[in-house]
Amino acid sequence: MTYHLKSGATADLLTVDPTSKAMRVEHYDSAALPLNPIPVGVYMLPVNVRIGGAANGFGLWALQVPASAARDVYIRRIFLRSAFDGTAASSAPHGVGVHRVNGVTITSGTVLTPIKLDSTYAASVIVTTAQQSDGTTKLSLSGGTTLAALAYLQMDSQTGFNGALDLNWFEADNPYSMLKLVDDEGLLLYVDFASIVAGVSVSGFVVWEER
Amino acid sequence: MAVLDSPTTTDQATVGVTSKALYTTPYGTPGDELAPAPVGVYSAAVMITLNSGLTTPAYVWGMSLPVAATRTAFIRAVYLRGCFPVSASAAASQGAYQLLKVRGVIDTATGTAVVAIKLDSAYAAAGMELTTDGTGGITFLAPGGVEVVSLGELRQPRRVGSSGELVLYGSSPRSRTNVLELLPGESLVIKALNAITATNENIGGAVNWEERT
Repeated sequence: MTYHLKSGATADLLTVDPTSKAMRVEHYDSAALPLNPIPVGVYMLPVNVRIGGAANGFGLWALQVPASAARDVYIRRIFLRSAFDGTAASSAPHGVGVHRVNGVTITSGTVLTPIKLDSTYAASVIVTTAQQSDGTTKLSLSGGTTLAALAYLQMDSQTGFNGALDLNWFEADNPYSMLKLVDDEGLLLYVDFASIVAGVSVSGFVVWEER
Repeated sequence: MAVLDSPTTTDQATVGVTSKALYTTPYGTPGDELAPAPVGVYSAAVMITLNSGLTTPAYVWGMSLPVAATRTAFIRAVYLRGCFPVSASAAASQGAYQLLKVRGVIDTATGTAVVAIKLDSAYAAAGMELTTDGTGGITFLAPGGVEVVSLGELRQPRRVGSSGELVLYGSSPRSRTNVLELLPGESLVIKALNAITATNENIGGAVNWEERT
């Protein structure tokens, strides 16, 4: 007895895997979003900045999706540590805000090339817009919108200080878990507070996938 | 050649044009969808500056679903880090900050509003309301707040350069287990337990949650 299951939308027929003999299925939620989408690639960039001079209120590190990218970017994880090796001093609270930006033009700094987590992946779409301050040259921001911080990494001007922030959004089979960036949107690490002094460093990494 | 028809509607099951795989939507035995789409997923920053004039214990940060809200919130992660950027240590002293679920709604007229950021700009605005105040503390609307459960405590040693940490990762709201659920009229708050010995002790981090109808 042979039955073929035909799609109600097209002429396509359901297939059975030749090895496992299992019926092939694709999981969707009731909003018609695939639950297990396969990304074009998964990428990461380091964050490694030491602030060389007293400063505050400036962009430290940014990642931006071009205005006409053919892909969406999903931030899986942001892991940051802060440390201090300067001259100790009491200070008001300060930190690095993690901001979503839209339509912002970011210039200056050092252009970083995203690292493919599998060498067979296609290059990232954001290759030309990821930038990093050298610690004294501030990222220049103009236009667009910078939203309120969605998280804060603390800084301190005391000997031996170590701060940390771990935003681990990735969750297997959950297409809603990550920070999604579409055309012209970006991610900005910004020193929001006054009283930053020389010797504060921020290090870590950002991991994302593109679809 | 068979087409799979729904017995209750005119819908028919589809097969992927490329994958030739049957499209399926997983459901649990009681009939609930296992992976329902949320209204939105959000993140809010935590940055609380404690002032030595604060009368403790005091609530210093909070997020509430208003009583009239039509959504349920699921807390996916809480990341908190304490910081003591003061030159003089306070001997044998710790900041103690409790993370609490409270029945009651915070008064957003007190303190400074905290903005809920959408993780996807296409989401609807968050239903959650948030505020923080490390100087005077935040309060609850009448009839007040009733503490339901403590989820954990951040301990911040008052030593030069020290930092304490509290990290909570709930498992997926999709599993419907091991995740903190907030109903309308309920709140997640941070409560300072001990007296603040020096202004500028602070707590930073983020809270991540999703909302569903």
